[in-house]
Amino acid sequence: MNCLITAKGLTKNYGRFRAVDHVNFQIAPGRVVGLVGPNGAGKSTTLKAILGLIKYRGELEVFGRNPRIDRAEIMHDMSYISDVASLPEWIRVDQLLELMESTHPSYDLSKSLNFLARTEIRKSQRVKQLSKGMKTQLHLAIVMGINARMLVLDEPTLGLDIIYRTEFYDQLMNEYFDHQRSILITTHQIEEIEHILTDIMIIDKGKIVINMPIDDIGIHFTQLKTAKESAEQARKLNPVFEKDLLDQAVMIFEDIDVERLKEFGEVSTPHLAELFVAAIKGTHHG
Amino acid sequence: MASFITLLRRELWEHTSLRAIPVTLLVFVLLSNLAFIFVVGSSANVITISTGDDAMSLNNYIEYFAQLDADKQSVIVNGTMITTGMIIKSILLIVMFFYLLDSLYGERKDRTILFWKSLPVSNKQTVLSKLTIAVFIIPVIIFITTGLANLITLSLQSYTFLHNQYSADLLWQQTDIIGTTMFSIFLLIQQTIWYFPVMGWLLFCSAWCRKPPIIVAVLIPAMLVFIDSSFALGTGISEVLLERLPLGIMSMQLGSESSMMSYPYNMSGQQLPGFNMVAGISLPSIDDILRFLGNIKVWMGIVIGIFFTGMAISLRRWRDDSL
Repeated sequence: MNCLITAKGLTKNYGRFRAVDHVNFQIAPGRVVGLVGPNGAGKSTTLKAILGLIKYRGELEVFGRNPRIDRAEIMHDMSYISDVASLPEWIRVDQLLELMESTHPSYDLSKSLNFLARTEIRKSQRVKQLSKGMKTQLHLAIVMGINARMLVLDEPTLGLDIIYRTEFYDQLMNEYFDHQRSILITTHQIEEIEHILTDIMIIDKGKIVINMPIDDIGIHFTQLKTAKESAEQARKLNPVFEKDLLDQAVMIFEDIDVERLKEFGEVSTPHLAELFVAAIKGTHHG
Repeated sequence: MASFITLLRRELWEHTSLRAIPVTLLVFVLLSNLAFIFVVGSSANVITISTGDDAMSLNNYIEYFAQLDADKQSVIVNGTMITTGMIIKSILLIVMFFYLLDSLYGERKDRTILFWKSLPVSNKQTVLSKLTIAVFIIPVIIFITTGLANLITLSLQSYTFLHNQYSADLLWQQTDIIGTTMFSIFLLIQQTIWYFPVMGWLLFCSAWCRKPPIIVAVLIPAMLVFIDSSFALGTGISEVLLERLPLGIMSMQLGSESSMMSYPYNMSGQQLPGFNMVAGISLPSIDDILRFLGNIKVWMGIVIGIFFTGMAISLRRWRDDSL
């Protein structure tokens, strides 16, 4: 498999604090990968390493290149959106488009213009005159024009209302994603991206605790809802996570015989948000 | 190349002061001249112009000017042009000082560095585009602004002469356009070369500092000068710093930035190439230029400027949105 990104033993320290701790992962073409974790888990540090913005230890290849040396070359094939605050406030929309066309060899201005035509953004407006939602639309319009192999999104919908958040991901999947490109998304709001992901990487305290295709979650993890009187017996099967829900106990098990669990109650595949909580708060250690 | 030109344009888009201040200066020159003509000129009996011992009205002043010998007329006309140029240069050099200090710090402060680094543009291209603004674009802006300011002044002075029944030829015959133009070009080129290490230092501070870089950019040289002078260490660092740090602001002497170039003049007591209110414009000879270019201090400065610029490029590689 010809991976777009390969990380082996990726490690980053800020003084004595280890932000990323010997992380290993690969991202193949045509995948939509969610890198999720609580604040300070190491998501943004991992992205910054991929983008060649920070020094790190370990091996990291992006499109077969070393991002510490070849950031500018990597950016020919990569788009990046951090939260909406990173667009320069002083720039006019037409200036931004001109800048992209002049600096990006694979930029197709007509695609951005087509996208912008369906918004209320005018080319004469400055970024500071746009609402948060419009800034995200503008950023998306730019991304549409870049013929990139990979799109990296760092909390792209931070501060947006639910309408814009939903619209953002809908447009992204309908108009940008084409099964040749890959998308790497970090977000807190896992439930919003759950339906578009092909892979999930959950990171906590600098370590990746879960890294698998979404389709494999049902193979490896099982959720059990059981009456409290049966919970003690089920607990002996070593759930990775447990919580109380009214008069029931909810447990998540990893790599267990589902038939055995059915004796105790209702079994199902856990939702991503539940798995996320289990991975962070539970006993699962990757 | 196209992307580098766009990077230069992006600097001009962002730093509106590089356009707004020259325009403001030109408007100020225009309004000053108009005020002089319509307020001073129409109130000749109330507001007077001092010419040393005597005080006289505008009409009398033009008459006085017409009776001066050609050399004195030339000094007044060209001196006005060069003084205007010096003021414009000084103001825009102050703008350049703050531009360079903000150029690599500002993008971290407002977090736009994440956007700029998402473009396929190298750190070298980015830093060099900012340096190009300082060493090429700002001197060109100074030159054009000075030229336009002098054109405005000469045009309105011509009108004043005509309005007072004097020929404008009286003014234009003494206007040394080639001399003042060459003077400006020599001055801007020489000062850009001489102060290049300071520009590199400012870029370096802008990339290096996690607090507003003006503190470090000024404090470190000031402390070095203070320590060297106070303890009479005699390292020579005070002289090296003091002859470069003024950045050419208020300087009108073509040789004053290089002791090697000014040395023969100092020994003979002759006037340095430049402008003098008595002798007028004196352009450098080929020998002066060669002496300047042969000065080891000039080349040391260029090497130091390149070193600081290289350091700024290297530092920007690892800069993200954290200050």
